[in-house]
Amino acid sequence: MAETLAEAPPVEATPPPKSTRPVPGPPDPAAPAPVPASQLSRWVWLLTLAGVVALVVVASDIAGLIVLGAVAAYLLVPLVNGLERRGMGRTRATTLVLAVLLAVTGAVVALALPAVLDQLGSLQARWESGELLGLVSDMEAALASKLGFVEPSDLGLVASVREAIRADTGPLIGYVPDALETMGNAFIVPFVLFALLKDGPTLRKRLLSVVPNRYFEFGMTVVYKADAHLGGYLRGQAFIAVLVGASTALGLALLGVDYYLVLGLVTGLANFVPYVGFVVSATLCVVVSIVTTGGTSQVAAVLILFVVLQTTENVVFQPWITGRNVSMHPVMVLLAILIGGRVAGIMGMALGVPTAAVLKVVFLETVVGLRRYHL
Amino acid sequence: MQSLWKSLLGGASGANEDDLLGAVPLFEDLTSRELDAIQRLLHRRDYVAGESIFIQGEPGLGMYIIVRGAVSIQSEPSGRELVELVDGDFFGEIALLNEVIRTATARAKTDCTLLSLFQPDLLSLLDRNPRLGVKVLLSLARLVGLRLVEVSDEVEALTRECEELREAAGVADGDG
Repeated sequence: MAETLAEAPPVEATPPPKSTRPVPGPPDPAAPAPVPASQLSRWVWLLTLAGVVALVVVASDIAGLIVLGAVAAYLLVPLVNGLERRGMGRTRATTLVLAVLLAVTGAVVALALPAVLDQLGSLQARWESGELLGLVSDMEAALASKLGFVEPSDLGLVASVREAIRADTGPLIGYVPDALETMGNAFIVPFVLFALLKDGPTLRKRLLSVVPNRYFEFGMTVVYKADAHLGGYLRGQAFIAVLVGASTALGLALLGVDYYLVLGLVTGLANFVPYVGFVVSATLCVVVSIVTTGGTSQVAAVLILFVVLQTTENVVFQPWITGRNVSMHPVMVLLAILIGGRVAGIMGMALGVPTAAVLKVVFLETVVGLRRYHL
Repeated sequence: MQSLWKSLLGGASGANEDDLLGAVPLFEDLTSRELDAIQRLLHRRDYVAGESIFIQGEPGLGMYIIVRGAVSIQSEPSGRELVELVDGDFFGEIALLNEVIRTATARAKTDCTLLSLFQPDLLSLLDRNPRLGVKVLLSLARLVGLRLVEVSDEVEALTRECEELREAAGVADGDG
C-alpha cells in the first residue's frame, strides 16, 4: 500500500469556492413527501428540544454551564483530533485530554490561588479602610472627561463599587466558598465536555437525521459551516484572551502596578467581550493603580500599555481570527454585546458575538441555499 | 456508560449494512475495522417511491449508496432515465471531491434506504485518520480515473463518427 500511496496524486482537500449559477430547474413534483419510518426518532428529538428549552427557562445557570462545556469542547476538539490522528482511539484520546486539562487546571489553581488570594486580601484591607470610596468618586468625574463617549455609570463600575461598600458586604475572601460551591456545581462542565468531545460528530449526525430529505443536503451545509465558523472564532478568541491576559499581567508587573495577577486575569476574561471588555479592564487597572499609589503617576504608563495591547490585538490578531471566520461590522458587534448582556448578563456579553456570528452564517447560508437548492 | 451512549445515540447498525458497505467498490479495500469507522460517518436516509434525492442544477455535497431499493438517474428537463441503480450501487461520488452542480436528478423508484457520505465528513476523516482517508481517496481517484478512460474512449468513438459523417457529407457536397 505504501508505495502506491506515495504515487497517489495530490488531492485538493479544500475546493476553492466556486461561484455557481444554478440552472433553473423544474419544481420537484414529488415534494413534499410523507415522512417514512423514523417518525419515532422525530418525536424523541422534539421532546429533547422541549427539554432544552425548559432547561434554559427553569435553570438558566445550569444551561450556562452546559454552554461553557460546549465552548470548552470547541477549544479542545483539535487536541482530540490530533491524538486520534496519531492512532489513538477517540474515547481514549478524549479521556487523556480531559485528564490533562483537569490536572493542569488543578495545578494552576493550587499554585496561583495563594498569590491571587494574597492580592485579593490586601485589596480587601484597603477596601475596608474607606479610602477607596473617595478616590472612586473622584475618578468618576475624571473618567467622564477622559472617556467622553462612555458615561462611567454606564459601565456600572462606580455604581457597583458604591453599592458594594454601602451594602457592607463581607470580606472578599468570603466569596471564595461561594466560588468553590460554583465550581462544585460545575462538575457538569467536564461531563458535558467529555460527551461532546467524544460523541460530538455522532450527535451532529443524529441532529441531521431529523432534517427532511428535501432539506437534508442544504441543512448539512448550514450546520457544517456554522460549526466551522463558531469553532474557529472561539478558538481564536481564547488564544487572544490568553495572550492579552498574560501580556497585561506582565506589563503591569513591569510597570510596578500592584495586583497585576488579578488584573491580568480580569483583562484576559474581559477580552472575550470586544470593545466593552477593553474599556472596563483598562478603567479597572487605572483605578487600581491610582488607589494603590494614591496618585496618578502610573496612569499614563498603564493607558499606554492598554492602547499598545489593544492596537496590536485589533490590527494584528482580530483581522486574522475574524477574517478567517466571521467578519462583522463593529456596530453589529456592539449590538450583539448589548443584547447578550441584557439577556444573560456577563456570560451573555461574552457569548453574544459568537451567537450573532452563528446567526449570521446560518442566515447567509440559508439565503444562498434557498437560491441554490431551489427550495 | 458505553451502552448508555449507544442507546442514547441509537448507534448499532445491521451487520447486513457492513457487508454491503464492503461490497461498494469505493470501500472494497478496507478492513472491517475501517468499515466501522466509515459506517460512523454515513448518514442513513429513507426515501419513499417518487421522492427526489437530489435535483439537477443543485450544488452537490456527497455520494449515496443504495442499501435497498431502486433509484432512477434522470436528465432534466425531459425526465429521460439515464440509468437505473439498485442495491449496492452508488452515485454522486464526484461531489465528494468537489462541490459541483449535480448533472442529473436522482429519484427513488421504489421505497429506498440510502447511505450517504458527505464531503465535510470525508474532510474530517482526512484530518482525524489520514491513513483511512487516503485509502478512500485513492479508491475514489481510481474510480474517477476509470470513468475518465471510459468517457475519453467514448469521445474518441464519437469524434471518429463525426468525422466519418462530415466526410460523407463533404463527398455528398462535392457530388452535388
